[in-house]
Amino acid sequence: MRPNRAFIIVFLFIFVLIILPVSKSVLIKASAYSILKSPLAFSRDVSQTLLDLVRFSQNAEELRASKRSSGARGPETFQLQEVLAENMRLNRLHEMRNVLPVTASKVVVGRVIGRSPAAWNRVFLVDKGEAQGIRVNMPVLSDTSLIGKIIEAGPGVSKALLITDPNSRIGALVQRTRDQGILYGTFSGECRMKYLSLDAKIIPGDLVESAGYGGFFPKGLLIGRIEKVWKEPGQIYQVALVTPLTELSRVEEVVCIV
Amino acid sequence: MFSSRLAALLWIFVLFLVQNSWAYIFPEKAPAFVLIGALYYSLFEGAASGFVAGAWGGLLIDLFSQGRPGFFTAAFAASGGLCGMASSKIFEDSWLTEITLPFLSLYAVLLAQQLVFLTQAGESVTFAVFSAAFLPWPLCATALCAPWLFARLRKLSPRQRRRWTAGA
Repeated sequence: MRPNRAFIIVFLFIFVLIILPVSKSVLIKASAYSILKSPLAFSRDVSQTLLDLVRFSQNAEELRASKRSSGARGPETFQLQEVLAENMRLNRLHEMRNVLPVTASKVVVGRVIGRSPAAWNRVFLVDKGEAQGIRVNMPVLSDTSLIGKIIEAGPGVSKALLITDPNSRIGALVQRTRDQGILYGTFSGECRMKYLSLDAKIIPGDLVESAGYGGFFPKGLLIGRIEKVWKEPGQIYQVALVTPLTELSRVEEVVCIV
Repeated sequence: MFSSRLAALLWIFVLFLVQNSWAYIFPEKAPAFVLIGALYYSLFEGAASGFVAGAWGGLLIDLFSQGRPGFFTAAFAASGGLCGMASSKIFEDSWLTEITLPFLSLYAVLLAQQLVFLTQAGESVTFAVFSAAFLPWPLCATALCAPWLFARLRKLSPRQRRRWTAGA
């Protein structure tokens, strides 16, 4: 292929990508996830194996301690511990039904099967899609708090945007003072809340929850904790740094409110 | 040439999977292996190969981005194409080149992403955009991994011919 032809073909391809309606591009992306599901799962398994190897000495020590204490033996102890850990996580997710709003008639539990390979994008793939009832704009929760929303839903895989992504905007309020603001992500991975009134007496440690504007997110879902508050120079509002209640980079299972 | 370009696309896909694995272990700290791969092909096989490899790598990254695809396809393709064009002016086997080129390219991509985001959101663009685009972890990890990855790619996907003999 002559270089000029390669340039022209790629230019045309990029042009088509950019002018393509969002609805069509979402369909293409969703199909691509289905194709990439197996290689991505393979790469995740490789990294999981590496993590297991790195933790080998720690696991071995735990196994020895376990043998000493309970007399259990054999590799099934590892499997048992893994099943127990998973069971605990799923139990916590199940218990979350108590804090969900009464309007949440159905929830779907999904596994995180891929995280954005680019460090500056904070999205992840969930192994549930439209076939299981997942739709765009549905809230995504961990076992403790709201962590994002569904932005694309394919037949069997969907994509969630985390609250720390710069494209994320959520109406939120401070639980104690009921001051309202907008929760947004930054490029550095922080979560901030702006448009807080200058009169608001917000202190570090205050909890932040969803405000329920727009009808996408139910009201009262816990999101995070205020870490510090300051007044932006030249602005007529306060800004707060919010620490999510969940360690977002370590989420393995999520709940979507259907 | 065509088969070497196909091999480049295959290696870029493998790098994408490696980057995905890395992101699973160290979330938000993964080096931009895909971009490094595109720069390798642009330096050693010319601007067109770099452009195509960059576009392919950017497309894979675009799949994981929010909203309309195309930004990373265009940004990575531009990085690959521009590095390929500049490759005759720089010493491509130098460690300094292997460290600085991926670092600067990634920083330019992040800066462009910031500018596009702020423009689309209707927010004002200030000088703070330069510091906001400086994400130390991915930038440093990319710069540090680049010489190692260049060395691996040299073994796995050796250059087809030196560019200055291409027209001879």
